[in-house]
Amino acid sequence: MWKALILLLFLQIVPAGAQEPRIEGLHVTRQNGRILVSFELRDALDAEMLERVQSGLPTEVTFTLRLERPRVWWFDKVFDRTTLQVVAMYNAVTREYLVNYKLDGRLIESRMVTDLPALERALTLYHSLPAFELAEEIPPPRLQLTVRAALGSKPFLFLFPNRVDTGWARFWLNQPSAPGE
Amino acid sequence: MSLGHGGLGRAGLRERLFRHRKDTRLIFAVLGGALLFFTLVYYLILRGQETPSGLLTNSLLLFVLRYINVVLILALLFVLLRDLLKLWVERQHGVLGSKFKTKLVATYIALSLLPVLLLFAYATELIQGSVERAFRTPVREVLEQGNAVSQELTERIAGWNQRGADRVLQEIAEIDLEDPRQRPRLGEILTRRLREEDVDLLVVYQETQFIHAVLDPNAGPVQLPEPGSAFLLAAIREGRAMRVIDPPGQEERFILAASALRDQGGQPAVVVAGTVLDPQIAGKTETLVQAYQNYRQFEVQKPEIKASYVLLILMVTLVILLTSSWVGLYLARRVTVPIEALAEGTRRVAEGDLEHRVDVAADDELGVLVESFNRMTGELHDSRLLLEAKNEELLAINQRLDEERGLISTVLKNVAAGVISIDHEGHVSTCNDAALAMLRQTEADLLGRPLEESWKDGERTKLLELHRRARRRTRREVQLRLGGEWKTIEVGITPISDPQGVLTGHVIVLEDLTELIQAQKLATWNEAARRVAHEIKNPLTPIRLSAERLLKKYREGDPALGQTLEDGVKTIVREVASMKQMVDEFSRFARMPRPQPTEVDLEELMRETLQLYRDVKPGLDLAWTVTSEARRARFDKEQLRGVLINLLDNAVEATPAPGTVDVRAHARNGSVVLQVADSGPGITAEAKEKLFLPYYSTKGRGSGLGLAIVHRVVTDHGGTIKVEDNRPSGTVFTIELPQG
Repeated sequence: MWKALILLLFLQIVPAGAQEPRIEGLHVTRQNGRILVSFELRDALDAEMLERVQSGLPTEVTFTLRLERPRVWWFDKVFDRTTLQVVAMYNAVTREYLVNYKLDGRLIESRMVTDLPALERALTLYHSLPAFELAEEIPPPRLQLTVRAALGSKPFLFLFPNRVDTGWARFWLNQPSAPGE
Repeated sequence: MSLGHGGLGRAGLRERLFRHRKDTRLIFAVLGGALLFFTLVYYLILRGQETPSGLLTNSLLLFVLRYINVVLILALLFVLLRDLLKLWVERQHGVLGSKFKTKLVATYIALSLLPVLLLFAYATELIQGSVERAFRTPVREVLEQGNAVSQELTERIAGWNQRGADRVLQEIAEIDLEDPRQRPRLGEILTRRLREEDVDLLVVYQETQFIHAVLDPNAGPVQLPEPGSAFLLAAIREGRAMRVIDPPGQEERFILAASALRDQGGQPAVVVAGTVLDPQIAGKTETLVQAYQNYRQFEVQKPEIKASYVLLILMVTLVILLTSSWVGLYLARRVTVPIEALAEGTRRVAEGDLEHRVDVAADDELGVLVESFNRMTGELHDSRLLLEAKNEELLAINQRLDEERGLISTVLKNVAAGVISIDHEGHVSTCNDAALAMLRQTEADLLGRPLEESWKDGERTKLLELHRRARRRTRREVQLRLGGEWKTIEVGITPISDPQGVLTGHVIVLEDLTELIQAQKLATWNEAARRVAHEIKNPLTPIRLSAERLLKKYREGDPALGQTLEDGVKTIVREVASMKQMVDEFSRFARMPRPQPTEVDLEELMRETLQLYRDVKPGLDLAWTVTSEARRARFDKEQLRGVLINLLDNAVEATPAPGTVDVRAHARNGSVVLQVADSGPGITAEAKEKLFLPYYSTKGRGSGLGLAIVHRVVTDHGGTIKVEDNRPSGTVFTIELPQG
């Protein structure tokens, strides 16, 4: 009885085998005071998620982008925050995937794709996303951009919602000369 | 009145406040509930902002169910753990009622837990089985087939259109689309091909730029659908493309197929061939597709749906468990709280706190028990107060008794009379120094020893005999020869009885009368000598005068000498006779014999004696009474008759007419009490003291020995005599004589 319970807990806590979803290739460019962010979401579209998309259910990936200054002994200081919501919906009649992009709740792009590879690219590849405005020519010291993707939630022990997300990916806008503050 | 009401009101308010002190729990519960509620609302708002509307409903339901279940589990765990921990602590400390409460709670929880868990397991299995069965039915196959048919229809139409578009593209390949002069020819080709290829529309684009289009007027739609640049670019990129357009607000659906020319340099031509799907067919195929999609959604959401049902059942289970546990604990508390309060009350009462009251509200048998306990405690408290008051009173009495005992002891120690107390077994309890001195004994001879041992010698045996015979209060004079000396001791023996009349001992009071009697004797003899001298001197004077007169007449040769001689001799003879009478009486008093008791009829004796005084003094009323108990007694009849005559002589003489002389006799404690009362002027206190002395007389005549003889007779009979004032006037002589 106890062994079964411990095994159940282990299975709930430790996902089996598969690669963890993560953000890679985070890169930032600056253009006319805007911070353009590019990155790729890897290993996020598993079979379960694709099945969900193809069933016609709206499927959402939420990216949180933050401009922050890390601190060693306290919470990081967040200067600005942006949320990118990407929602994919499949129309079985027209056999097309509609992908909407909302930045801080405002629709910034709506894309129609007809096949799964295109859908995967639409959901995972982001290029020159205008995330923040930064007037200063030289960014403040020790400023970094962090991105995290939330892929929904799975229940823990059928009761407690467990958020499925990637870890924070970081990009130094102004590399510190020495670590810590 | 108002003050009383105010006081009562304040007391009632205080009591109500005290009774509701546990309402803080309610306040905390309300605060906790409100906190949970607002947390839930806040979280829902956040989730609602983040979640697309299509997802909101299902996620919200799951979230609410999970939230409620978590709260219920926490509440259940809190209630159970809290009470189980309290029970464990109480059992560890051996609190009375904890075992009973544990059994009660365990029973309640077991009774509710087992069936509820079984029901939960069964319901969960039933729900899961039902959901699985629902997915195993032929519905999936039907829906899949329907969706496949729909898709096949679309594919076929699209393929048909694709081939038409290919042929049209080949035919218009040689036409320069940028040349406006060739447009009529393009229109002719498209119109012809529209009929030949049996499509509903043909549209030619140069890259994404519209060039020309023809539509079948019988197909229905009046608006050309916009295929979209992405579609055209895909066709250019891939050579061909297909798209289904379902324009919003239109019932028709367009199935488009595009073919594009590549590798021609310049802008490629794109031919789009389309078919307008009949609204009825479109609707049916859409229904089939949507049904299949709904099924797939349902299948995707199957775990969540199952979780929803399971969570719903779990919620109900937890509510039942929480309710039953709470009810069980509440009922257990209802039973055990009064028991604990009673146990605590018993402990407090056992420690002496009789003011403690059990303050537990209960309206059942336990309430009766609590009320009885409080009443019993109240009565105990009242009794203790009464006992304390009595105890204080007893202490005061004991203190006073101790003081009195000390005083009595001091008095007894210093008093001249000897005092000896004897217990009911005849052992000497106490004796004072005077008694020891009188009896020439030590404490070791007397204290704690029986009288038979202490007074077994010849002289002291007289005292022992007196003690044996003392049935009532007795007073005797005893002559004892102790240490070679004669002592006259007046012995007073008083029986001591308890309130029930049971004899508990005697008190013997010894009074050494030796010196007093000697003094009295001396005084008596002085008085007697004075009286005798006086009485003798009285006749001597006439004798001397008569002798002197005779001598004178003789010397004078008086012729009346003979007569004088005769008179003188007569006087001398008379006075000598008087002197002789006086000497005879004195001699008789001195020679008074000891009494010879015989059975005497006292009534007869009184009648005979009183007969002598009838008609002695006119107007004097003589009366006598004898009770039957006093009628028979053993006395010296003649001596007693003399006593009566003496007393009656005095009474009759002292009482003026009209007056009464009353003689009465009655029995009391084995004695005969004889009283002679008159209504005369009475006797002064000074005279009463000397009344029984020899030769004392208040009458100025007689020998003065009458009452002395009376006193002698009475004491010789072992009795007592006393004189008191009569009421309203006169004198009463009371003689008490042993009856047997």
